Amino acid sequence: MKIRIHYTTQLKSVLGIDSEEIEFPPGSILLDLLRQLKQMHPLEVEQYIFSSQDVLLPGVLLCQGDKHAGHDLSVPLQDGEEITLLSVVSGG
Amino acid sequence: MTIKQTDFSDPELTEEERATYEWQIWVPDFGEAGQRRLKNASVLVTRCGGLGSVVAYELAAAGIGKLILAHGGNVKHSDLNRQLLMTHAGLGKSRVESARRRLLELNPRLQIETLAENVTQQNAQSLVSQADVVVDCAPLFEERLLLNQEVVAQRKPMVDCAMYDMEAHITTIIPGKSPCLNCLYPAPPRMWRREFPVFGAVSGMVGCLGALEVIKIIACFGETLAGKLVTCNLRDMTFRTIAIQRDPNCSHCANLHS
Repeated sequence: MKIRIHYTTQLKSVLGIDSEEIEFPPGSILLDLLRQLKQMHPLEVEQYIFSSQDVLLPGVLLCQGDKHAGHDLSVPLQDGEEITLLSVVSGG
Repeated sequence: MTIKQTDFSDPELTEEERATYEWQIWVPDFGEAGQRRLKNASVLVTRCGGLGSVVAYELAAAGIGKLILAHGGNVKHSDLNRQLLMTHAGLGKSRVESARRRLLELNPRLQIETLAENVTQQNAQSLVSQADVVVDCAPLFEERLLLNQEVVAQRKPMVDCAMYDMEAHITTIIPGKSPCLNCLYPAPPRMWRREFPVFGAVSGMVGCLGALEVIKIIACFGETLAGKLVTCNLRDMTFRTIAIQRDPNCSHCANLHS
C-alpha cells in the first residue's frame, strides 16, 4: 500500500523535500513508517524526528490524516493515507 | 467547543463606545453584550513582535478593556518589517513604550500595563495572574512552556500562535479541556533557531486569527480552537485543522478535569 508523508516548516528544510510517497506491506503500523524513514534519511531523522531508541523527539507531531496520533505508534496504516510530520514552531 | 465563562461583569458602554464599535456590535451572537465583556476583560500579550503587535492592535481596535504587554529590549531596524507597533522614529527606544504610544493613538480609552521584560521564571506567575486571557507570541519555546505552566496552574485560557517562513500554527488551550503545550511537546524541539525567516504579512495573518480567538473566548460566541491546531501554509494557501489530543500522562494537566 502507498502512503504519502508530508513534512512541514523546518523539517522541509532539513530533509530538502516537502513530501514523499512510500510503499508498505499490508498490516504495517506507524512504527514501521518511522523506522523506514530512519533508513531512508538516517542522519536527519535520528537527529530531529525519531531517536535511535524508537521515540519521537520533542517538537514533532505525528498526524494521521487530520488527527494527531499522539505517542501510540501501534496504529495501523491505511492504503492511500496521508501522514504529516509536523515540526512545531515558535516564530513571532 | 464554545467556551462559556460567567466571571466577566458587564459594564455599560458610553455613547462614544457605542459609536466606535457599532459595526462589530452588528455581528450576530456578539452584540452589545459581547462588547461589554470585551470592555471588562484584560489580556496578556507576551512580546509585541510581528505576531504580538498585531494581536494587541486588533484587540485595541476591538475595544478590549486592558492589555498587559511584556517585551524586553529596544526597537531595532530588523524589527520594522513586521513589528507593526514599532516605528522608525522609535529606533533605539523601548519596544513596549513604542507599543503603548501606538495603541493609545488608536484607542485612548485602553488601559495598558507594560513590562519591559520578556517572560521569565520570575515574572510569569504575576503576569498571568493579571489577565483573563493570555496570548503567547514568544519566539522562544522556553517562554512558551513557562507561560503554559502558569496558565495551567491558574486555569486561564491561552491562545498560542506561532509562525516560521510561510507557515503558521494556532491553537487555544483551555486547561482541563484541551491539550496544553506540554501535552504536545514537553521540551523545546532541537531544530529551533532564535532567528527565523518571516514576512510581516505571515505573522500578521496569524496575529489576526489569535486576536479573533481571544474575542470569541471573552465574548462567549462561535467555536474556538480548543482541541484543534490550525496549520496554514501561505506558500500554497493550504489551511488544515488537525484534531489534537491530551496526553493522559501530561505532567502539567493530566490531573485537571473540565
